[in-house]
Amino acid sequence: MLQIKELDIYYGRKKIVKNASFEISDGEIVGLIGPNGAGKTTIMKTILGLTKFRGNISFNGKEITDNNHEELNNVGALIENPAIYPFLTGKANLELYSTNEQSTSELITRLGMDSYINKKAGSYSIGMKQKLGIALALLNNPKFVILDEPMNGLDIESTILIRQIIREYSSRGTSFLISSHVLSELQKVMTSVIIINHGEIIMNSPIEEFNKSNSSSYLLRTTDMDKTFKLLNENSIPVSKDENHFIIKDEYIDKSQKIIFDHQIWLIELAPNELTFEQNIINILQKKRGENNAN
Amino acid sequence: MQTNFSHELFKFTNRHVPRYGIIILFLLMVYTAIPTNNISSNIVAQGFSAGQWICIIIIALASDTITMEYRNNTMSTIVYKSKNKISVYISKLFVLIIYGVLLLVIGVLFSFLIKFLAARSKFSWLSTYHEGHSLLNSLLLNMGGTAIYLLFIITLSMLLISLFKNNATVIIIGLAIAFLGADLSNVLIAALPNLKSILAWNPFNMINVINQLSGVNSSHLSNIELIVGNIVYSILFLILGFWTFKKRPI
Repeated sequence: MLQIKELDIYYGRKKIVKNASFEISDGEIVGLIGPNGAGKTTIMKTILGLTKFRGNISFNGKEITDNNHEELNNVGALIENPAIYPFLTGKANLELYSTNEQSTSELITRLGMDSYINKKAGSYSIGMKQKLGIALALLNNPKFVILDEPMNGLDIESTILIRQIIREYSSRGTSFLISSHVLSELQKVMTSVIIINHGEIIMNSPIEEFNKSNSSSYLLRTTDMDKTFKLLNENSIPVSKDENHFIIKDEYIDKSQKIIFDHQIWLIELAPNELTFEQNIINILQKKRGENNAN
Repeated sequence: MQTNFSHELFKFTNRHVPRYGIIILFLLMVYTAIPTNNISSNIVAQGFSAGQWICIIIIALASDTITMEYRNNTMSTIVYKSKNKISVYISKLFVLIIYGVLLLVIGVLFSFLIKFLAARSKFSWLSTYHEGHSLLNSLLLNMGGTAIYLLFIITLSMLLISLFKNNATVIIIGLAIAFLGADLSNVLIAALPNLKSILAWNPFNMINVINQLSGVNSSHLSNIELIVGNIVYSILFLILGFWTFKKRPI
């Protein structure tokens, strides 16, 4: 659906996004993650043809440039703050771009906006404006949606609702590119993750592979924990303990299993010791910074 | 382009500012009439300075119609939902031109009303006023001149707002041109009389089109030259304005 190839974006003479390439397929929900100033919003704006760039952006095989937006008819977006005219009602804001009145009414109801949609948008709270911004992005059943910090200002019920709606649209084939600092929320919906740091994509991976590749240790529980501990120490295998398990680095896991098996001790539990999503992201970014400093 | 234009028209008609513009025009025309105890035919022929006031109102509105989009973060939406940036720029220009023409028509109607209230039977609209033109004819010619100058001032305001990104700057420059433009031009031409034929084409001199078509020649250019000058400057400002708008990051 969306293809980005060797994208370079400049601000003045400074290159702020360097050689970024990635693809987004139908129904995929891609999380774009990175620290402040990494280039997330810039990439999103560039996909929408709002900034000049070098490289190639194509949507359904047709090129998008900063002066050719033909292919963006099927794209919806919420970039930074909701794009709302305060002097219009919420409904008028939607009607400005709506191509189907029935589908717009359904969207208003689905987002729970019926009670205030006919009031001037200038009187809305931050959360109401954010919902209206999301409704504008989802208007006319787009094929691709860009959401920059969509959960900003939303209460917990609205956050859950937006998550459900994103999944519904995705199941119907709509793709999403979402950036959010609320990683726990993003983790619940995304199917792929792109990590960006200082304008460079440092990871682009399906979420299952990401989780798998970032499990660097295992939890181990056996039928005889004391004897296991002694054996691992005798064989110089570094081991630490939590309440019920030993924690062993993945490079020692095969050797550990063999030693235990040879001494007729049986495994009760052997499972990846998963870090939280946030911890994994922080580790990746710190590792990248370390590499950069070393260079 | 058609979609962009209908969006712009929809937004414009739903804002309070254009309605305030009409009220302000009326108040400013009344303000022009009030201090003149003895209203002259000259001030009536000028539509109680309607041309000048309309230019000032349009300058403020032209700059606001663009800055409003940046203020509300809506510029990114209208640009990415448009085929290209030029259709956004041209749609806004068309709406401002239509509003300018509307203000001119309302200005003429207000002139009738204010004259009726303040100088009921003093002058006849059909009596000869200047250079064989009736008072009504002079008023309409002055409004026609304003219509031409509006092209100049709208395209200039849109260029300035694309350059400076600041309403106040555009309004100050616009006011300076509207109030001092003709005087500046006269000073320039008087200072260098040998270059009069060239200096008469300076942009400040173009404002004289507001009064010249009814027979008051103060520009050192013929009517046709003055109209052509205004149109050429408008095209130049339009091209430069669009180029600046296109380059401006969103």
